[in-house]
Amino acid sequence: MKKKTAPQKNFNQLRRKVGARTLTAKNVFENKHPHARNFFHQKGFDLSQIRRQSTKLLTAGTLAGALLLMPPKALPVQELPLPTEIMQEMVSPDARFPQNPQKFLADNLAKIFPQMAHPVSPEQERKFAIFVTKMTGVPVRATLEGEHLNTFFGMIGAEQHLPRFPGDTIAGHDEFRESGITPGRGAWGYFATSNNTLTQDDIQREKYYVAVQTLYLPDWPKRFTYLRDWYKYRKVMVLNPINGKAVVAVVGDSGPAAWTGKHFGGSPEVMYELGLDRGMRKGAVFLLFVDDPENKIKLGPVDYSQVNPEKVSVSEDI
Amino acid sequence: MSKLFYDHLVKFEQIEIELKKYELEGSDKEEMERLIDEQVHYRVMTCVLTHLPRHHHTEFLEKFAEKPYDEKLLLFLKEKVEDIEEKIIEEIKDIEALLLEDLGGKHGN
Repeated sequence: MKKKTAPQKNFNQLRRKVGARTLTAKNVFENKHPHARNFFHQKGFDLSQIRRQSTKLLTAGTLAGALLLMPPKALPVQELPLPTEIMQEMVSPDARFPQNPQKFLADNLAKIFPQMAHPVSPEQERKFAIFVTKMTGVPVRATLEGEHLNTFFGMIGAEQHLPRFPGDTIAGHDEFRESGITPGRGAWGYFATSNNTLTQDDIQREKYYVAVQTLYLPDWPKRFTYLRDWYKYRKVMVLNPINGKAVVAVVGDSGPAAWTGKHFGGSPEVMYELGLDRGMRKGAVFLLFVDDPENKIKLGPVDYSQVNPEKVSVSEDI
Repeated sequence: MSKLFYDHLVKFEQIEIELKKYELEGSDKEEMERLIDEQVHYRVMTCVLTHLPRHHHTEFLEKFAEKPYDEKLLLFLKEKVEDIEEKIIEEIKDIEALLLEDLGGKHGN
């Protein structure tokens, strides 16, 4: 019989303890409130799955609205309180753009982000994506190839470096060593098989990685194989609405858990480029997919000095 | 946004720190996160329904099933139950304390 290693033994003990407490909590709920248990059963879901159910309801409301052209009042959404004239400007062929897009972005996003407690309509998501695309020069979308995260706005928290290959240590990472390195691999494993096969692309992916909550996608269990591959190193842009700083990164890990109060995780480099590497090392951000089928957009901070919003073209099918 | 009306009351930062020491990966990590999440769902719901007068249960459950994310659910509860938010917070604190107890046993066993 294979001897258990210490961490595996400890995890099995932990799983038994936490599992037992969860089972007890479930039994207490069902015994004290059997009518509630029956209610959920009649609705066709289990209370343990409420988070996925919530995402399903929200996604059905927003995407169904896009497909069926349901009136906004029928959707569980709110309108983004961006000034109407700004949104109209962004999509107008006669649009006039600010000289300082980073500041313009920050000034306008600062007005709306405190109210981002609910999802927005597909049309508002589209206009928001156009707005951000024009200001940053990076083609972004909230929905890409039919895929949509459970949220494109939320709190990001600092993560550690990820081991890029078996045996990788913090000494091999050139910056932000004080952040440390995770003892385990990221959700998509190592970036390379060894130090010898590590490429510049691998190095860049680990530098600029984010964690997203794939666990809470409504059909994650059903389409696991497809979604796991789709999200692996998926290019995204993270935008800090307070200062307008933006960074192009890849999905390199899953999480954080909902009970942490956070929605995304950022590598040390990502947090630094967003200006969130000090103090609490967390903050509210927007996270959108980057539409880059030819892999032309480099990872790293967005250089606004190279952006001319007037010349930024936006895909018609955004 | 995948959220529940009580999510803003749950911030298990210390649990996150302690859990990282277990070096969990992939499905083990997901399983542990899921178990903790489920525990919160059951205990918060039990707390709410225990304090909410029985004749309000159907209305609350219908609203919850329709929009689990709706912050108005907490307003509804506040109208019907004195200090319900504090009661939920106490329940969450108890969950956290017990989980930290479980997590703290790592090196002792």
